[in-house]
Amino acid sequence: MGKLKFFLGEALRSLRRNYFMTIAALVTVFLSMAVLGAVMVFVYNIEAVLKDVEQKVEISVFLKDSVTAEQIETLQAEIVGWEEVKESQFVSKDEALQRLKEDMGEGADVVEDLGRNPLPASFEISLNDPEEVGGIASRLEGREYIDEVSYGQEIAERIFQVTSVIRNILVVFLVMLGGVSILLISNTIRLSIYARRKEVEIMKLVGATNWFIRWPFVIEGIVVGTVGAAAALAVVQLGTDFVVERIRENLIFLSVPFDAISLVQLAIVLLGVGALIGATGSGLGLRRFLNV
Amino acid sequence: MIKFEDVTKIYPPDTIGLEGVDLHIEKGEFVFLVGPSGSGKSTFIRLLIKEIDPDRGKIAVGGRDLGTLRKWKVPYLRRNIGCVFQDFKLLSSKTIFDNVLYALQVTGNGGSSAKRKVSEILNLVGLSHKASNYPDELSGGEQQRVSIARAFVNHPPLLIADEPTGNLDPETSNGIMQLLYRINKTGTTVIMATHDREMVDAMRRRVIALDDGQIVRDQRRGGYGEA
Repeated sequence: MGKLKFFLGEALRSLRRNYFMTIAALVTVFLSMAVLGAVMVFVYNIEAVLKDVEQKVEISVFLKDSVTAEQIETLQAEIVGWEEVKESQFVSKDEALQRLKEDMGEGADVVEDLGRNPLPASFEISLNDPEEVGGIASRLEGREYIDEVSYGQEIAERIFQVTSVIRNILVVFLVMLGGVSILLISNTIRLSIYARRKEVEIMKLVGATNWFIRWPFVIEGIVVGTVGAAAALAVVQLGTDFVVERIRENLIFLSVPFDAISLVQLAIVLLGVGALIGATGSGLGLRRFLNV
Repeated sequence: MIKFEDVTKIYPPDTIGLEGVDLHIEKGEFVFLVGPSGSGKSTFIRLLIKEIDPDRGKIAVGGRDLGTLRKWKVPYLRRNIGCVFQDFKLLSSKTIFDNVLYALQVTGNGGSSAKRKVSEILNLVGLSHKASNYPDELSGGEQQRVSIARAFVNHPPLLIADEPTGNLDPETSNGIMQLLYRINKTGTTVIMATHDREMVDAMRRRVIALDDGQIVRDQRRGGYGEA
């Protein structure tokens, strides 16, 4: 306990005394983490949009008017039995008409005038993995009481192509950015340790063990990493709120939730990465100077 | 206390540090290590604190064979060897008091008894009034006294001084010598590497002269340049 206090005291004192290096390291951590955080929020939202778009890919199975209640039940049971299927909803002729009326609102009278119901009954099938849509659709096509199977084949395929390309780009981008951040931060830390290598040499001569020397440096790294990341977190969070607000105001029709990535998730990642890079950067940066 | 057996250290590619040195230093001795620059004095000291390892031969300090001493145990060896250097090697970020205290803190002893010890030793070297100053606010002689205080605060059985008076004027050097002399009186073995001819001649202690990495003279009550 006394040791921990000593190490903490050492770390804080040296942060104060080497304030220039401390600020340099803080700014580096702050900038890298802010960029990383902003990109994470961006990626998260893009991902939400992609998911939303993909979820819209559904299979509609239109049934012939001649279909019997029994056939409907058997078919429903069969479809629900497929493991790829998330949900299958039967929409009767009446329900379809009802929906049409609701969609049309004031113009619903026109439908009334038709006298009879021209809409087919259907199944609306949503899938666990929307990309399976083609396979499922072909399983249903051509059955005698099925009139038509529709899932907007071309649009669906294009959507999946585009979303997978976007995803790959984002992953590569995130990984590169993470790598750059780590390099930048550990380099700054290395520099600050290099400036103090004489100090380390003296400590060794007096008989300090490696860990006795290392702990204050590691604590320093953690402090700098966390504080820098916390500042970045605040900026990213405020910035996101601001931007989301503007989008909501101006693009009301966008059905995408634009739920910013949760603060907790962002905090865990940024603070964790910040502290980890700070600690390992200091710990490893010391290594060459400890071999005295 | 210290035993060198046929110790050779070559710095790559072929610079001789020490060559075939046999040596025995008893507990409580005061030994001057003399010789021109590059004669092997520093190599000798660096070998003693296991900063470097010999290429050949055996070194024992306090009955412990340094060759078989594990790397992680080196700090414990150094706690038993007080070191004083020409450039003082004080931590510039710490006060005088904390510099001396650090030598106790590394041994896991930083409490009130340690602080009392630091006060005592600063009193002994006459620097109590500068305890809260930083090293760069002190004169060279004062800094060297701090460095000696730090080296001795543990009461190590062995104290090594590498040109401790090298940067100091004669009068200040005398004060430092007196300090080392008193430390030796408490039973601590003192090894001092020096260029200071007058000092060696005045003290009449054991003199080991090195040249080109070899012992050229080992005299019980010698002078600097005597044959």
